[in-house]
Amino acid sequence: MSTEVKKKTKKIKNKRAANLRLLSIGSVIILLVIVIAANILFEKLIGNALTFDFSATRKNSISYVTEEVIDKIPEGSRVRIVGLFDRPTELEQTRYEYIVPLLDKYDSYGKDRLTVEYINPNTYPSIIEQLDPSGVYDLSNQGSVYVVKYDDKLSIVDPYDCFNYDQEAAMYGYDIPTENLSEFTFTNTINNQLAGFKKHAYFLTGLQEESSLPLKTILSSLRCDSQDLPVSDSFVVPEDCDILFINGINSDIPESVEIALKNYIANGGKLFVAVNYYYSNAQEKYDRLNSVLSDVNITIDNSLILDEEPGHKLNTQNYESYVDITDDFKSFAEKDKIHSAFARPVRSGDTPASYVTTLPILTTSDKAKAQDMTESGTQELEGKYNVGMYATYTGTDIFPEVYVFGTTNLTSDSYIQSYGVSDTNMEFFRSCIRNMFKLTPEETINIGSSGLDSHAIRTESVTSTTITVMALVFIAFIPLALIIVATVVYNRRKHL
Amino acid sequence: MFAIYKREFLSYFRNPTGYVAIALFSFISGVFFISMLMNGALNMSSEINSMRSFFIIIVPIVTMGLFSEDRKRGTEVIYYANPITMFDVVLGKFLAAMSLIFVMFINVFIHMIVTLAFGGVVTSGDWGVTIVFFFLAALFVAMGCLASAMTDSQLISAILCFVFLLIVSLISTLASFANTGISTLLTNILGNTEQANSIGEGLANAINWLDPFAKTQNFRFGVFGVAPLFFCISIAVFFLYLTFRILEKKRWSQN
Repeated sequence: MSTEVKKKTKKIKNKRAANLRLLSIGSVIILLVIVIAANILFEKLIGNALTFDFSATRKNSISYVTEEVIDKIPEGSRVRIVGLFDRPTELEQTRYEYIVPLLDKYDSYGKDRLTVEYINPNTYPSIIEQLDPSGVYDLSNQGSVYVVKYDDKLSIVDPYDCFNYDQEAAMYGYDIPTENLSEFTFTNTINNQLAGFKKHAYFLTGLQEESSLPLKTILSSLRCDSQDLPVSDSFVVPEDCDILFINGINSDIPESVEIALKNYIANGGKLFVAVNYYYSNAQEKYDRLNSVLSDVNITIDNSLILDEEPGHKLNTQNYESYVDITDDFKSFAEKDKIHSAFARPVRSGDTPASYVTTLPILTTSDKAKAQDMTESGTQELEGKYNVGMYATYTGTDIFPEVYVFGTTNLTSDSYIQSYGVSDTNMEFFRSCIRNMFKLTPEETINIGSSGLDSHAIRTESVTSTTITVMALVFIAFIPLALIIVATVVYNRRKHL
Repeated sequence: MFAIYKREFLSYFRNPTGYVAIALFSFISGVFFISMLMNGALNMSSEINSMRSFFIIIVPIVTMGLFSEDRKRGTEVIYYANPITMFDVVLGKFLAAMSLIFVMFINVFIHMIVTLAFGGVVTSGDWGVTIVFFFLAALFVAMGCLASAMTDSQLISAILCFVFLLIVSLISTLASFANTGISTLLTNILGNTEQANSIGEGLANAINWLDPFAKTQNFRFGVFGVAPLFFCISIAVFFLYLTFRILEKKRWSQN
């Protein structure tokens, strides 16, 4: 072959190689561009539509109630939910596992009307002034919280408050969540910002009472904000008080409060009393409180209700039982019984006033006993007892309303923490408040809580022997057997 | 393609590679399972997520010999001499590696059965993580195929694959470094901290967009999205195409 032909052939080969290289590189670049573009388009256009919540409790989905609340945001307005921290990336086994994917749903449903952002004030200091120009909320010292902002209204939601916690574990310093309230908390906050609070509740404090934190959360879902009202010598009920709570007190009210409350009722005030019979108050007769309640013809007795009638008995503890909802209040809950414990009897007073109407709300069975512990011994009287009563005035221009319960199972932290905000007792409590304020269902929203993932197993079936056997099988036998086979195969191949 | 798939899959069991990989997987998953059992709660998502961390070791073992072994022995000419496309070869070997990973995963299925037997639950999140496991495996095996096609040394192939997987695993860390670096640099240049942080964060978000772990993390909570799976598959296809191009180049350069 002549040199010229060789050169020509080489030139052709080089050209072909260059073309192939170009084709190769070009096709790779084109494919890369297609892959990236397709992914971006897929994510933006149909990513949300093709995302499904298959979780058992639908914890990552918003309910139709939340959708309705978001729909209520006026066109052109915007509710901003701003997490004052970087968006969490490691969600697993943190509180954010239940919050971040849920808020993503709020964001995708809300479009321009509701946005969810994560802005760390350390990176963007101006966000603090943007959200709270007057500095009232001291956002820079709030830590990792969410801020819900609508117009000039601002609320702070701490992720910690998006859960109920086990009370017993809390006593030992552990926070063990028992119920997920994320949607409940955020939607109620948004709704209260859009519609505003309608009523003001006050909680009497300073009487060794239990805390009422979860109860206040439930009240906020009824568009009722809450404030503490400490007892004092110059005690007066504030004028803007729409309802006064005396919840879980362990000592009687002082004289100043007795006078103020009598005056409050005489002027048509609304009162909600819930006490119980427990170790901490078993000796307390609540004479002054009874004096106030005598104005509405109600008395709380100092004894413990025990109900062992099979239809009412809850468990082996006879001080825990079901109580019947009376016919007048049947519409307050879907079920006709609610849970009661450590209850005191509540009865009509001995000297009824003609203008007072009293109605029993909750009653025990006919076979219940009121155990009265006196100095001479324990007395038990069998009969039907009221655990809750309602009173109002009739035939007058003033209509005070008083709900008195001898159990705190409608209002106590421990009950709400144990049974959740969607329980029948809570449904009943909500109805009491709605009825008192004449709130229509449209005026308030009702969002249930959801459970938490549990991976617990039947501990009784997992003995130490079982664990040893499992460990031997999964960690030793199976891997060792495979290694032995690998060695045999290797040796066979070696000697081929 | 099926012939190549069959040959490749069986070859895992004609040498110790397949057995060692399965033994390693079953040992590690067994350790996780037993430690959870001792704590009285069997969370299969945690186990599967933890096993994903070991892709970085398992995938190089599975894929290191896919192409490099053929090249070293010179058996790759068989593919060139037969009436099959190189894409069939790539796909056959890829599917064989995926099948081996499926065989390994049988361990986890057994753990799931034991979980149910002990009164535990296998949630939608657990199935979500299982789906993600296979899609991520597809992505990483495709990367392993590329690494294997790039060299005729199994060791170098394994190291290359390890580096690829390491980079993917560290995407969020790299994004964080990029964010800090760019933000600091631009703050010095522009003097406006918030603007600099915004640019840094934008860059970090762009890098994080490539992170398949972040994209698929919501499956663990029962949120199933098609987009993250599409991402894994499309990137896997891209790497398989790169592998195909490399093999094609070798094929023609031999002529």
